[in-house]
Amino acid sequence: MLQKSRNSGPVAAVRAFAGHPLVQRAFVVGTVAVFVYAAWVGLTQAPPDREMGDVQRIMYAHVPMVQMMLLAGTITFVCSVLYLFRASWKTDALAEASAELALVFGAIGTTLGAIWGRPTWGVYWAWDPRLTTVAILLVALAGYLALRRFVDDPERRAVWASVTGIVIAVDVPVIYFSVKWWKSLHQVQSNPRTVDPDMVHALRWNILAFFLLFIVFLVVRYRIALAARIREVTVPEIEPRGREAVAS
Amino acid sequence: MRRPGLLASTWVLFRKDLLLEWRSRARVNALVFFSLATLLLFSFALGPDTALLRRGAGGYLWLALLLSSVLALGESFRLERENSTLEGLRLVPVDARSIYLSKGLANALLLAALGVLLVPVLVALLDVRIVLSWGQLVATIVLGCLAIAAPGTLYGAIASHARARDVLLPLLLFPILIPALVAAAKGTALVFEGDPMGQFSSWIALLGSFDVLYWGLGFVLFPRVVEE
Amino acid sequence: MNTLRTVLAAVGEGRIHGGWEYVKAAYAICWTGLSLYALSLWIRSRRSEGVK
Repeated sequence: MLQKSRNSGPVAAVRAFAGHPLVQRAFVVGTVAVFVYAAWVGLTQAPPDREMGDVQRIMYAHVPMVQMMLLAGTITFVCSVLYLFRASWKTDALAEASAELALVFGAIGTTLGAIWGRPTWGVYWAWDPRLTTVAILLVALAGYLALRRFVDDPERRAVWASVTGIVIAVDVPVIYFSVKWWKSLHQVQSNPRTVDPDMVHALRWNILAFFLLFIVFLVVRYRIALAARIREVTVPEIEPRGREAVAS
Repeated sequence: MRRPGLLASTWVLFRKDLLLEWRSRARVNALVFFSLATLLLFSFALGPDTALLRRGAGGYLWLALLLSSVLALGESFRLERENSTLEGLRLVPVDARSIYLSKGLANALLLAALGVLLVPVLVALLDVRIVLSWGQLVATIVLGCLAIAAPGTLYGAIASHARARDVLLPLLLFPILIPALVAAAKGTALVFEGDPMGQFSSWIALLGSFDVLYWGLGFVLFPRVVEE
Repeated sequence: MNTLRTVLAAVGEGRIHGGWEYVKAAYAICWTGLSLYALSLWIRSRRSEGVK
């Protein structure tokens, strides 16, 4: 694997620190701690909403999940573009890991949104432009991951996945605006209001919690992807030919 | 040997693709009957209330075209893959972008012809009336089929070299095409039912911008898809 | 005064009462989903290291 010599300096120090197994274990423990605290704040400390009541608390999970989906999607898009300019297995592995996370976080986040919608809007689904765009994006991501699974050649897979990733990312705003126009025939938009500072506090902690969790998942998934890539492209040790070779 | 220009090679390849389709008319016929069968299926699944069917006619047309496009696109690349003609073309050398343009335009033409063919069927089966003009209807069909062919040709090339290609192509294509589907179906519905609020031109403009975007993207990305 | 009280009782506060079932369902799905995914990652990670 190509790797520039980076064995000294501040970057190397950060790498050594982050790569230390004890540090990584501490990070995971810290993530769980923040997650538990944020859940506690969201479920017990934050006040119920003036109109939604306690149903508001679903937002503390729904909003961060969808935000992480968008972050993951952006990472996949950037890696897709990057790969076409400079091919690298690391970029490809990161694109794959991030796409899977986007699907997982997005699917759960959308489900949470639908559950929230039932008592507030009265329906699980309302062809809301954002909701619909995310639903379409999830299907598109499933297609992206299916493509990766069905192409055997690693280099072609990486190029085609990058192309697909770019097309999906470019289409997302297009989808959003067309659904908005399509739905604008029957307008039902959520109203923006000023938010209680206690709610902001709960939301902030939850966003941090889900972000840390996202990082942990991303690193693990990235490693799995990179290891798989290395296994695919490494030429196996050639066995010694044995007695017949000596005669020739 | 001087490399042929983009437009020249596009034209040559375009004629080749059309000739191939003409030579294998049976395949094209099968495609026509498939789309007819699809319309019948919709009528049976959602009928027999004629008023309801008539209101949905615009949508059914585009669903039938979308499903047929998957077959058409798959076929379009199957021949290429079986005879390794894409690799052969690259050796000539032909600019990959002219392959994209020619294949895409041939596919769009085939689909548009199919679309126009289905209109009288809609009139007969679903009691549809053309309230706006034929010109607007044809324009919608052409622009919509161009929108299908652009990412369709790109993904068709990818899927033809992957496993489970019959499932992969629609899975990749359909989410991307939803905006175009919405615009084309809406435009067609307005043609069939009248346009009191003058929305038709906005939908057509939308569809046109999708075409520009998808063809631009495909034009830039296709060479990466077929390069070795 | 009585009519006002009656009307207010009929109209309500404009706030959803209860709704904890939804909150519980939502958080259950969220935590279960993430746990299952974490488990899947862990299994794949073990398998990946095992092969090496």
